[in-house]
Amino acid sequence: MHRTLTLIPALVALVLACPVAAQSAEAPATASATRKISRAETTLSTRIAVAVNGHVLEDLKPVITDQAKLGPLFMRMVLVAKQEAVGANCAAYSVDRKRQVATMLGSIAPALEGLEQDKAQSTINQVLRHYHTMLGGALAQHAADPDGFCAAGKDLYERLSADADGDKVLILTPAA
Amino acid sequence: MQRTAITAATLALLASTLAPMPAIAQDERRSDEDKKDNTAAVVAGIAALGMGIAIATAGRDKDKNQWHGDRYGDPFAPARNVECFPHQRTCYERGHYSYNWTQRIFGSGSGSDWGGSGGSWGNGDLDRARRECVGRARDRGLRNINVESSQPHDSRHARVYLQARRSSVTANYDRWRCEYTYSSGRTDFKKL
Repeated sequence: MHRTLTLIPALVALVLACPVAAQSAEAPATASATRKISRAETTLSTRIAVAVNGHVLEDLKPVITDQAKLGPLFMRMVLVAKQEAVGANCAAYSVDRKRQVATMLGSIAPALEGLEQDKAQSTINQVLRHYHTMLGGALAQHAADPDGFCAAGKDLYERLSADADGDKVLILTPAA
Repeated sequence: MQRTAITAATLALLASTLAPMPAIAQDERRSDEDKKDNTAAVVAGIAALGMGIAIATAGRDKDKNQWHGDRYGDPFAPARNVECFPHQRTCYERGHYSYNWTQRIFGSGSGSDWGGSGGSWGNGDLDRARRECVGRARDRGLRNINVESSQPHDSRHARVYLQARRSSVTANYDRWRCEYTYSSGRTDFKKL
């Protein structure tokens, strides 16, 4: 009897702890769970990516002033640069160059609508220059954390492959 | 301010580069005294360069653990090991870009806080929730709206967290939660 009584607090504690344990890292955040983070809390790899990509985004704003065009282009640049770095560094994947060219051209096209040829060429040049800045950032991320980078590359490949919309920006293929 | 500091660094760099030049152009028969003068010029140049760099970087070092709000927004962690950056609309998991979390929190790149519908791929439900919440927040008179996050709440609702500033140059903001009902398109706002 006494032993049973001593177990009760432990059981109560276990029941109280269950909701916390059940909340996996994948669970969507509630308002109270979403918390601000400082730079010091983030990983080196994240800081590299957001510093480089933030620089690119700021520099592209005066080039492509319509945010409705800049936003999707920026996201596609992030995805393509990441994949190119994965293809260059991770043994399991390579880059399909035809798909890469088609994806980049398709991504830039909306930003060129209505532009004179000179201005359009200048915009293409600047976008490509900034794309390579992003690629440099992705390569630096690999250098900082090779295993984590390639694991994330595998996850990205699988998610883009499984997503009808994501497939439009997929440029990786499994290495032969 | 930062531009001024960078200008100072540039001028210092020019000074350090140019200072020894006349000495190099001088006659080869320089005396020891001349060499001392040149050395002094180089040292002065290096010192000026150092001062310039110090001026240029002092401001940044001071807040090296803080984010520059205009570049990053207010980064937040929606889950363990996940970091999201509102202004770049990207999320990272364990230090690497996460397509899953980026789509989940920010929807596709076509969301309304990029300025309109500029793309076609993405998460339809969350995009719609974000678009409707931002639009109706504007209708309610909220201005300078930044979408902090959007996330599925349950099978019938999404919750979109918004920041609204009275002015684009004001740091302070009001925080709102917009609950969007998928089936009816209804939105309920609550100031947090």
